[in-house]
Amino acid sequence: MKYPLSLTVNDENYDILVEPYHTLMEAIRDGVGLTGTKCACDDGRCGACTVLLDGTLVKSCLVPALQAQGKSVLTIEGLGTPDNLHPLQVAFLEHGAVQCGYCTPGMLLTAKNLLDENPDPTEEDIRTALRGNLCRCGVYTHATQAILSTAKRDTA
Amino acid sequence: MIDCHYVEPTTVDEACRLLAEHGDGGMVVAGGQVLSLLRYHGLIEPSCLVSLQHVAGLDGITAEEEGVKIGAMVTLHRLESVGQEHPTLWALSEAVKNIADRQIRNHGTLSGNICAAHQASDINTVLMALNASVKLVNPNGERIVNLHDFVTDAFTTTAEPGELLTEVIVPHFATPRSAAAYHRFALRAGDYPVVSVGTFVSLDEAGLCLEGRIVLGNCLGAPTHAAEAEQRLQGCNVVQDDQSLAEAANLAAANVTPWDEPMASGEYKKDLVSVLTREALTEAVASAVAVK
Ligand SMILES: Cc1cc2nc3c(=O)[nH]c(=O)nc-3n(C[C@H](O)[C@H](O)[C@H](O)COP(=O)(O)OP(=O)(O)OC[C@H]3O[C@@H](n4cnc5c(N)ncnc54)[C@H](O)[C@@H]3O)c2cc1C
Repeated sequence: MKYPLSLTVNDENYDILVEPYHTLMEAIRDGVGLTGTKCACDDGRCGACTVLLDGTLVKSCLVPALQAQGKSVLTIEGLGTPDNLHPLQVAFLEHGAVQCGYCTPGMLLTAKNLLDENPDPTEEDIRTALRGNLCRCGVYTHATQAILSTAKRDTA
Repeated sequence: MIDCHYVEPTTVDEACRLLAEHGDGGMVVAGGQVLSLLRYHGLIEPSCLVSLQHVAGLDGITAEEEGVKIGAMVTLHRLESVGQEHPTLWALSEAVKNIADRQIRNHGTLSGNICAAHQASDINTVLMALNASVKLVNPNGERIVNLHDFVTDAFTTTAEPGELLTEVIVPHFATPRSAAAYHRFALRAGDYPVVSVGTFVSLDEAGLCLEGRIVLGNCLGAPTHAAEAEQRLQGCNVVQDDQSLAEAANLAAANVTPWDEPMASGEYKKDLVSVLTREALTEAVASAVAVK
């Protein structure tokens, strides 16, 4: 049985229909139509589907869609736009922290959450924060440097 | 596929009634992180999901006479820092910090972790070492059950249909010189542990062990007490005679036959039991001695 779900994604309101067992990831990709939130492992390991739900970092493939009722979601599409990239996106480009790019949206949202909580992280803090975002191309070192440089720029 | 309903009760009574109404088809959803996995793998087909998200009164952490009470919906992330305020829960906080990653700890709940009853649950292992109990509420009343009698096998609890876990009770330490510790070994950061060990000791002023607890995680279906090893500690001066800790650790390993996994044989796990038990006991004793 389908239920109405009202949620805000990147400051826009959406009213969609979902099954009780649908995940937030399915709601975002199939219901709202924003496909920047990636689906890779579909069992909570890889972190490609990471989004911010009312400011809390979650893996959207593990959250039941109806738990997002009335809440606000930030996905990669809301972080920056092609004409106006978020400083973290600029830093990822500058540091070549992207290879195939599939893990990048989730990694950027994790990085944003980290810098919101801790504007001056150590390299160790960044490594710990990225623990839930797997990258099979292995951009970890570049991503860590990109996040570090963004933090330095912001706190300078 | 059968039709599935979704309900959002606001009280414990209402949640129990709805669960009872749906019998075997009713399923509690706390964080819902296991639900997504089970459904994805086609393992469940519930007829009604009973969400606890809006049930009042399930997210408190309070020190009361019986012990520290932790509400069912407290997130794993909150548990990471709970040991600072409630020293009894220090080992619980240490155990939680190594679970999966920040995203999963942000949304996963205490009751979800316990009731999923994963054989390698860090929470169940450390909570058994702390001698925790759970409060279960059903439409006709409530009961308090020691965690050891609640989680009995892999993915198995003794919850009756229509029964809700509402809180966990961690008893206060009976004597001041008491402490718990938790050590785990995983193949990669973020993985479930291959083996984990929760320990607890209470000492008298001279360093004699009044009570020792050793709980082994991911060796059998449910976390299990290493009973002979626990007995070995009793009455020993574990401060002066650290050999007793090594002996207890060896006994713990000798008396368990852990299940084989593709990446870790039972024999290998026995070695881990010995090492981790010694480490966790040593840490618990040091912490107990340091209590002012
Ligand atoms: C990739 C990954 C790695 C993980 N690694 C670890 C790890 O290393 N160590 C570890 O301990 N855990 C680990 N976990 C488990 C994680 O902690 C669980 O996802 C989480 O604890 C489940 O919580 P939840 O609130 O989402 O549970 P839910 O999915 O909501 O519930 C789980 C089960 O418990 C039942 N239930 C929930 N609450 C109640 C209640 N109050 N009363 C009765 N029944 C209830 C539900 O019906 C369901 O069957 C991992 C999970 C993932 C996805």
